[in-house]
Order: sequence, then structure tokens, then C-alpha cells
Amino acid sequence: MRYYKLPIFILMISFISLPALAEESLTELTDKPLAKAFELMDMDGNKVKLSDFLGKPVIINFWATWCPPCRAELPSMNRAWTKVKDKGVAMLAINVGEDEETIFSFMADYPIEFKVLLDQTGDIVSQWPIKGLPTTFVLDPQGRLFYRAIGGREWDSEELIKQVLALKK
Amino acid sequence: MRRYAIIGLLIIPSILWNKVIWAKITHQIDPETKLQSWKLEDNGVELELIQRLPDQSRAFFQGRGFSSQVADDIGKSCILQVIARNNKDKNNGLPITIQLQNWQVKFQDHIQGIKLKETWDADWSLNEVNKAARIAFRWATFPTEQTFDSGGDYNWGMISIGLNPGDHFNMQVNWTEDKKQRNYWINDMICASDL
Repeated sequence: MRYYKLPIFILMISFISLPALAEESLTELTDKPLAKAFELMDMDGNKVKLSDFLGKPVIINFWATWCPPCRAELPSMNRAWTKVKDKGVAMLAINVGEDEETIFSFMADYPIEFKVLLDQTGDIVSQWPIKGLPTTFVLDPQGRLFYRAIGGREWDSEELIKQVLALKK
Repeated sequence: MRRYAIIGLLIIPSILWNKVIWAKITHQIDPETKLQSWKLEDNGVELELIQRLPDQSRAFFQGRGFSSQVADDIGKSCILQVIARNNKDKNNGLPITIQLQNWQVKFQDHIQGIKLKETWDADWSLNEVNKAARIAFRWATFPTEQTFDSGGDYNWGMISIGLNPGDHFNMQVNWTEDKKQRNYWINDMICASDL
């Protein structure tokens, strides 16, 4: 009778084992192309160029106010910003297709302390390798697309911040 | 010998259960909104399809620069919110690719594709829909083709089934993983009607 105990045990374990689920993480791009240059206006009417940030890792998030996962991840991005802003990392949120008024109203409910840029015509987002919102890239100090996250992440998690800060080396 | 045979006979089906048969489709009705949703889970991939009321979609697109006529056309075309997620393990899991042109809808005895964003865009004249509205439509709708890496990539977006409010249909959804297409039929779906 005891011969049957092992297979029954294996069977039970096998049936209840679920697929290994992921810790949220960033995808490292294999080719690491140079990021497409841009010059966009910020919420204060200043021109901001991507090249202004060469020499430091840059987190660039493409988003829109109506996009639910964008809204979900923005608070964690804001918290991440407080953790990295004094550590030589830049963070930009590029809004796709909306005007200042819409974004300004939105920011009353979702405070964003890092720079928000406006891509009202959608020309910049179309030039980057992006299929959906939100998509976030982390650029290395040389301005190459190093990591990508499709969909939202918990940006203030230790693991993600560690990945970003490691690019400084 | 007999002992090993028994072990083998029990292990093989259990592996098949985990690798092949482990796909679950759940149907839910939101107790507050009464909107229905269907969720497919298979080995770390999740695909959820959620009804949207015609009025919901109409209001969304009107708020983004569409005329009431065009927003009404979109709203009544059986819009579903799609949420796709690749939760496979970052180190061992494979990417998946969703191509909406491969999805199929069975309505009555007829099988058709879904109405893609490119088809909508081509239907509108330049005067009918301005650039800002087209940008909103492009980014609010689910990409026609998108790859999701393992480790938590996900996306949300609307798709248009191209049927009328209240129509019942079955839908084949699929994605490609390791060059193999995985197909699943979700049966007894229904387009939402305004309350």
C-alpha cells in the first residue's frame, strides 16, 4: 500500500503547482539603440531637449490622463522621484495628445513633481518604439534605450530603483 | 517495475495538465455596473475582456474631439476593454505576441475578424475626424500587434467587435508564443446595451 504514497504525493504537488509568476521588472533591450532626440515644451512653457540629460540615467514615461494604468503607476513614479532625484537620475513624463489645461486639472488629483512634457501632436511618441500607453524607457547616461516597461510598474520598488541606479556605473 | 510504471502513469498526465490544459476562463458580472467580463488565464498569461456600455464609449470619444455622430458609431460597435498581461517569470518565461487580425468572432453562423483601428481610421474623412481625435483613438485602442515580455508587461485598450448592442457571439482569441499560436474560444459573450 505504501508504494502508492509517493506517486499520489507527486500527483498532488503537480496538480496544485501554478506557473511561476513574475516579480515586476524591466526588460533590458538587446540592441540598445540611441533614443530619438526631441524638443518639447514643459508645463511652464520652457523648451526641454532630451540632450539636456546626457550623462545621467533618464526615466521617460509616455502617458495620458485617460489611461487607467498610467494613472495607477503615476503615484509610484512620484514616490520613486523623491528617492532618486538627488542621485543623478532624471525623470520625464511625456503626455500624449492632451493640452495643458487637461493635464493641469489632472495633476490636482495626481500630483507629479517631476517634469511633464507635452507631445500634443503625437509626433514624438510615433517616432519612438511604442505601441501602447503607458510605456516607459530607462536611458543610460549615453542616451541609449536600456530598459523598457510596457504597462505600469511599481516604480518605487527597491528592485526597480536598483536597476536604474546601477546604470550610473 | 510495476511501481515505476504507476509513477510514470501518474506523472505524465499531471505534467500535461500543467503545461497544456492549464487554461481557465472565468466569467463575471460586476454587481454594481452589471457589466460582464471574461478572463482567460494560461500559464502566466492573462487576457481579460470587459464590456463597455455604448454610452461610456460615446462619452469617452466625444470628450476627445469626436463629433457626436462618429462617437455614436464607435460606441454602438460593441466595444470591449482588453487587458493583456504576461506574468511569466522574467528569467524563464517567453514573450508573447498578440495580433488582433488573428482574432475571430463567430456571430450566428458567420465568422469574421474584429474591426481594427486602421479600418476605423481609413473610414473617416479628414473633415470628419480631426488630428487630436485620431491621436486619442490610436492610443486608447488596443494595438493591432504588440509583444509582451515576461516579467509583467501589460497593456489596456479598447477593441471593436463590429456587432450591435445586445448581439451574442463567440470569440477566438490567440497569441503567439515560441512561434506557436495558442487559440482559445470564449463562448456566450454579449455586446453591452445601454441601461
